[in-house]
Amino acid sequence: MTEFPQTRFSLIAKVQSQEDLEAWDQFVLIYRPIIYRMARRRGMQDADAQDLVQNVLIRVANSINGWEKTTPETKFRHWLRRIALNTILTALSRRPKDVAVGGSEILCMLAGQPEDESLVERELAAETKRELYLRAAAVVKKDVDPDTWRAFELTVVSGQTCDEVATYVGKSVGSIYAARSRVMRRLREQISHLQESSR
Amino acid sequence: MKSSSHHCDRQRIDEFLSSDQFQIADTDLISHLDRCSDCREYLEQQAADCEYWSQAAHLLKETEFDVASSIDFSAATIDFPPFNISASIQNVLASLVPSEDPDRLGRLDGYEITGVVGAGAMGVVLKAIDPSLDRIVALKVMAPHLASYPNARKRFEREAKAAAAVLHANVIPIYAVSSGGAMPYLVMAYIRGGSLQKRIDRQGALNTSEILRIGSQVAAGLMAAHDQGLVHRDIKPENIMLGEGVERVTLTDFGLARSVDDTSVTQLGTIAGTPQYMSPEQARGEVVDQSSDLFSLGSVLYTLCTGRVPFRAESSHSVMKKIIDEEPVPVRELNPDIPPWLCGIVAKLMAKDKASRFNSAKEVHALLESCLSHVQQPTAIELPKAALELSRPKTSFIIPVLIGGLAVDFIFFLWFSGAFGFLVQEPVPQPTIVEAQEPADATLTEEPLTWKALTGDDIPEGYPTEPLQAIDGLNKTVGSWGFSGQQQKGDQQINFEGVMQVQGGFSKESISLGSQPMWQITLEWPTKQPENAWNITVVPAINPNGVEWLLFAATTSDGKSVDEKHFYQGSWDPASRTLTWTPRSIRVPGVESKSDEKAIGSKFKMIVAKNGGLKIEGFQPRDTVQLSGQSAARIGEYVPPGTELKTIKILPNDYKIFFASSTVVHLIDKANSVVVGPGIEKIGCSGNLIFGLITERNGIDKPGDTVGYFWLDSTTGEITKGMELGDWQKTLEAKGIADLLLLKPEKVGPRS
Repeated sequence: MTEFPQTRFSLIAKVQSQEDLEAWDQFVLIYRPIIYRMARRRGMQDADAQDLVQNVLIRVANSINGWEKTTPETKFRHWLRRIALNTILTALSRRPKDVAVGGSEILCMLAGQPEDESLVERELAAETKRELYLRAAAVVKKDVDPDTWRAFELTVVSGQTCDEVATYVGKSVGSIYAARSRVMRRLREQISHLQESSR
Repeated sequence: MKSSSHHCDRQRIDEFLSSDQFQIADTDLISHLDRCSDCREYLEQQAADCEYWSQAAHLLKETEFDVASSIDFSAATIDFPPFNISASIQNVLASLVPSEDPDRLGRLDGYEITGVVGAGAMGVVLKAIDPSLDRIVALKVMAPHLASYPNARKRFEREAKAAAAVLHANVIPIYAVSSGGAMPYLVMAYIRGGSLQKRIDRQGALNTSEILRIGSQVAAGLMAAHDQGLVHRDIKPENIMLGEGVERVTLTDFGLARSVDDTSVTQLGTIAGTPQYMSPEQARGEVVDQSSDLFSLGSVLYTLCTGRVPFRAESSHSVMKKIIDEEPVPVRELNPDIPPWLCGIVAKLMAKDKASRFNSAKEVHALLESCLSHVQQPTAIELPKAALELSRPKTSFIIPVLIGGLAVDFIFFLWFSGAFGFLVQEPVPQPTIVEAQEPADATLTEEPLTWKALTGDDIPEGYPTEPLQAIDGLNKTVGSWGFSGQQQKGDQQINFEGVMQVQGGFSKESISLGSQPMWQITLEWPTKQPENAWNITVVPAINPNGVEWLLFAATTSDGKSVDEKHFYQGSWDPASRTLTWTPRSIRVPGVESKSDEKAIGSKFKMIVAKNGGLKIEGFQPRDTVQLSGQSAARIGEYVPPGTELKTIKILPNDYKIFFASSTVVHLIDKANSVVVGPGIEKIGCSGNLIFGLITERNGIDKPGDTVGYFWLDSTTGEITKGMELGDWQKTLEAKGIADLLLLKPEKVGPRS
């Protein structure tokens, strides 16, 4: 939110440390799409999923009052993540009656079981990882020139062979290998960097 | 160092990878890599562990919900960073004075805040009580952190002035403005009901008179704003409110509105929202006038007609490019129910050249009004001449088919043709070998192919002309559509014919009598492989919003017995009329599902046009998957439009009918255990009693249930099976059941 430097909210007056403020900002940035996708996957419409995202974030924000640094090792971001998981679980199981009730009912019926919390937890972890990769990719994509990115995208993400792509873009195979490896290296670095900052 | 292209120089690779200068290419190394696979391998290992490579391949792929979302999250679209809406709300809420009432969120200048209506980049809309008049109002509060920006404050004041200046029934009334304090705010009418966007999300395309009603009222609101010299500049469904229970449409959010002669331009948040309804001149960043709002109104009407926005792309930037350069898909290709004159009006509003649009909102309002009168009383009131002139001659509907992921040796296409002859002649319930029918245009090409839906004159007498309304979740029975096609497999060319049928309908609370709520598509290979056809059954799940969720079952067969069965979870998007299957197997109660690996990977999309056209994307059947069923017998079944259909309520006490396929029908209880079936032939209920008939058509993979009539007391679970008709009727009489209402799947259509 660079264009609004004052965007720090008094709600976090309770929290105060700069590190924790950043943790919150990053949390919101990463969790919004994650919660959205999870909601959509459960048959919610776009608008309902967005509402749910907002509800979860507001609920998490509200529970910040309950945050207390009990030991020096307790980390705000870890605490946030735990609260988020609980809130998401509650929100997904307690969504409005008019949203895809039949869908989930039949889904559970077919699966022969109610929604399993550990499954949701695993899904959340998987989505968090996806978000990490997507964010890292967005940064790297901006950094490299479009052709280099395309070599990576077509071969690694879209699964085409380097030979095919080389012919397609009119470059040598070696340059495709070189380009995609370089992107991959950057991506790896960026991922580690993001992981570091959220540890 | 020319020689280096012949030698493996690992250090050079390491340097290359760690170099920050991305643009400079090491040409020697690259030409070495052209040849040396060892070095390629080394390079890739050094770049990242294989874990990273495979994760990147997996995680960076588009998911179903990246593109469908109006929020752009994916890596491809980072042009506009998402605004931290939650922080914005918290920021405003935190600045409120605490209220005495603990149920309220706080107080602002005497307004008791009771809830949050919404939030955007500029601020937050709160629901509040105005104690002096004891009415509910909406407060649009500017975020405190923005209030310190003179430009933002100016923009806020401008909105206040602009909106307050327009007094009109179709423009949101502004009661008060406070711009002096730390948090400037507007007091507006609180409108109970949702935005037009919510309506579209829920319902997809609207009908003609609804479109005209909403369109004419928006035009009236615009007319009032334009009379004040204002341009709204952000006409979109989110900003059009539909009052709950009243037929009034209200235009809101004048946040971007500007008087035409106002030359001061604020940059902040200029492209705050979706660009999908922008005019070409807005997208080009030019100065806009009132006719820009007319274009946006046209885009809104287009969306109402088709259920989708006119210009779709994955990033805001590409949307804007399309708005400038491209024409949207003609409305009637997406929804043939829209009359040509309305398409003409939409097209004129959406003219790229603003001089070609209507002259004023007033003109549009008057035209839409008189069109609405015509639609409401078609015999008494004529269609206005201006609308008549805009209607183009009737065209046939050609649906472009894009086959995604086209397999190299496999070209697959279908088109609807006059293949009904055999359908009429072969009512015998057994698989039929059909003579190959040469398609009218047999040239195979890799170009996008077209399907022509059977409509109007193309349809042989006596065949259905109704659109596929069942797919919309309406309680209507529709019919069958025939098609013929070709499969190109290497040198081999296989002709086939088939039928797509929609039987029965489904709605919020009922299943129509006379059919199963299913959608079955049968393709048949008449030459070479008469025993191998494939059969897809789609079973809609019913929920309060209509059809939301479908099950896809495909079977493999040698013509006699079925050896495999696959179930997939699918989702139906009514707006784009697209059915998407995800290759993930799910367990179905009472039905054994064996090895799903073979079909995994055959993820594809099927798009059903309202006029019966069908589009398949990404379909790549594998040789090993040969799907079949007994559905050849069902070819030609058809319930004429207008046949009266009785309906039954969904069964009492959480019992459900579960259609595992066209012939495998179960009754399952609350705990999802199969209570009766398979082989249910008729089923009905009265009060707490469920009753029906089990026959031997248990089909396919399981011995059937006890043959005969059954009844079940849904409160106690008491059940009796295997009854004779006479005894059964006596039982029902004894239980006071007079009017039997049964689902009778076998009674569908003429089958002589």
